Amino acid sequence: MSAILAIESLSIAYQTEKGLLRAVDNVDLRIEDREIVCLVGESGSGKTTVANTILRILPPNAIILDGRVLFEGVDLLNMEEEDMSKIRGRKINIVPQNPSTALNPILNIETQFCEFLKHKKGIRERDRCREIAIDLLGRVGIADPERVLKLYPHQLSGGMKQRVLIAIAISTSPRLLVADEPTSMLDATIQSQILDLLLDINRREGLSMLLITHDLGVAMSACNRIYVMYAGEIVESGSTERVISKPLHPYTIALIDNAFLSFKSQGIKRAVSGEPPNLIDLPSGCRFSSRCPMAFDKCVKERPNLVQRGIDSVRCFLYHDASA
Amino acid sequence: MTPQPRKESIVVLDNVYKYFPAIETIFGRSKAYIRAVDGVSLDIYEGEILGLVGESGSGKTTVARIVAGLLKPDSGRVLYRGFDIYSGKIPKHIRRKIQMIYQDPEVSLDPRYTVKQTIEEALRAAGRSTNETKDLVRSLGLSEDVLEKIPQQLSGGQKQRVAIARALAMRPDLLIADEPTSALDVSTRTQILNILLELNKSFGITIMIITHDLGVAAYMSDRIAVMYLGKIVEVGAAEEIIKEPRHPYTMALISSSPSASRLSKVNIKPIGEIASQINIPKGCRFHPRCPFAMEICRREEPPYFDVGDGHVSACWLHGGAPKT
Ligand SMILES: Nc1ncnc2c1ncn2[C@@H]1O[C@H](COP(=O)(O)OP(=O)(O)O)[C@@H](O)[C@H]1O
Ligand SMILES: Nc1ncnc2c1ncn2[C@@H]1O[C@H](COP(=O)(O)OP(=O)(O)O)[C@@H](O)[C@H]1O
Ligand code: SF4
Ligand SMILES: [Mg+2]
Ligand SMILES: [Mg+2]
Repeated sequence: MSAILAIESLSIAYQTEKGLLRAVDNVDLRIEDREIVCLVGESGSGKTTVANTILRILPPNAIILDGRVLFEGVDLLNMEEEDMSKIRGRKINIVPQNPSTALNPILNIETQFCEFLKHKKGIRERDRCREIAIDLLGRVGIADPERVLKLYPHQLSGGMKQRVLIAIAISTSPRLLVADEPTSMLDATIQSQILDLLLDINRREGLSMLLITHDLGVAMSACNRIYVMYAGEIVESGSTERVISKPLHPYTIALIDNAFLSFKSQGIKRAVSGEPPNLIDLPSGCRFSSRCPMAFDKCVKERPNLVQRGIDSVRCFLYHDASA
Repeated sequence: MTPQPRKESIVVLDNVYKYFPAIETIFGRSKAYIRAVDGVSLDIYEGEILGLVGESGSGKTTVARIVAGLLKPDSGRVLYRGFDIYSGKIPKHIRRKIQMIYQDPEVSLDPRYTVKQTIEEALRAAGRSTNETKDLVRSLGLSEDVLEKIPQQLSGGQKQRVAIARALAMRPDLLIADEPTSALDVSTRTQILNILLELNKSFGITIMIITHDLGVAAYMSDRIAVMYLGKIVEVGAAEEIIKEPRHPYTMALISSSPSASRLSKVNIKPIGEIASQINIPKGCRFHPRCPFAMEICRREEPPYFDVGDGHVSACWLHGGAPKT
């Protein structure tokens, strides 16, 4: 298999009043052809920063400290903006977190669709555009595309808006979809419908997907492989099945234990104490050490490396000896 | 629908309705109403944790506000220990006994007040000594250095602890927690849920926890009530509701939640989207989305059927003799 996307030792910081905030640190991540890869982590762990780096839409105070983002073998970070704009919105598309703010409230769906197709595919004829839009809306499970094209965003539910945005996103036959929390604003029953749709599109359209989520349940039901992020670093990666059933990193273990709750009668779960570290003033040791039930001397003094074994990786001293 | 009380009820909701006028237009108020709470009867038993679940807009927060004495229903009665709280002005000593915490803890915290000032004020209002401030703050796992901080300087988890401390200052015997962990990450979520479990276990505080997350409801609740479009469609013992739900909407909700479906055997997907609260479907309000809908479901609203041991479900599939 060949990688569609390969992120190599990516480090991003934000300039803030209080100092340099290390949002993403030394991140490696690969997405193979037709694969759905999940980036899982709590809020503030750096997921959106990774997504925005891939699309090169980082805010002005962001600094790329290091790393490469290879898309089909070409480094996006070294590219002129003019070339990048031919990839963004064409070969790499985004499914946004908030479908309500992603659509223009004063234009109907048909106009927005046609604007996009004109801009990205040079399709100017209204009839041709309508034809394409109707086909695509059908492919994302909208039963009456003709009617929906005439509607304005406020006349659509959140789930319908997300379907429209997915239809627009696949209109250019992209190689990669970046979906940053695509279902977190939606209700449970709608969330599972949209996830099913994304899986279906991955299969039918043969594209790869980076699915970003804070919800391990979502990751479990959608992804081939998972990367777990904590305080700007990848702390573990592997096949979804392996990560969920045999997590290695103490943080992943705690995350899974806390994400999948049981019944009250089963008793109290042990909570992870404390909170993630301050990214402006990071500890010198392992970033999870102050919360880790397994931590020993070395953990607070030194930073563990990412230990790689096949498709599995883990950043924790408990596994350093085993690999040496 | 109220099952034979096995325990004493602390709160009884008796056929409660609350409608809101829909959109106000330039031509004045429209005649349409949002049927936020559309005939709810429910008992909260002394000492239990009751989970109220449902998707957004189903009316959970409106029920919470009605129970908390903050919103007068259009009709129906709300009894607190037998006393009709909306029969006149709610006496202070009763108002204090029912406390509410919110998804956004800032709702109940004054942004200008330090934690110390917030807690001291609450203690004073309850006629207690401000000497208890430190103990109260410490009992919620907060360190003393938060005392001089204002809400903006606290993390989400810390703010929720302060909001709980403030509620506890009143020595409530009923705590209504409206999505208390929805804004928190999983690792912090368990910390807050465990605090609530502890309050219930050690101090016998009755809790109604409102959540859209069935995993949270399972972990916390003795009983679960499921709401759909302003009505409770199923109530019963928590494990029964999750493991063997009887109402198709509950089945759909569980199937859509990756964390709850691991605890259950059901798997059905609901069709389409949540209907509008203004035009609630005739007959069973779930019928347009229900894979089992029959002729009668489109015509007549199902009554509550007793499906065993205080477990009731409003669905025509149960046939037989309706419970009156
Ligand atoms: N424009 C910005 N300026 C300063 N800090 C930022 C900016 N954007 C994000 N951050 C910070 O960077 C860290 C990572 O943020 P983000 O990538 O959004 O994480 P996630 O998507 O996992 O929640 C957080 O601490 C966040 O507060
Ligand atoms: N004060 C209000 N005025 C008008 N509509 C309201 C008001 N409060 C709630 N609603 C509407 O009532 C319905 C139920 O809302 P809510 O009780 O907040 O549901 P939930 O908490 O289950 O999401 C929603 O359609 C909501 O928009
Ligand atoms: S009453 Fe009918 S439509 Fe409603 S949930 Fe039961 S089977 Fe489905
Ligand atoms: Mg994000
Ligand atoms: Mg609510």
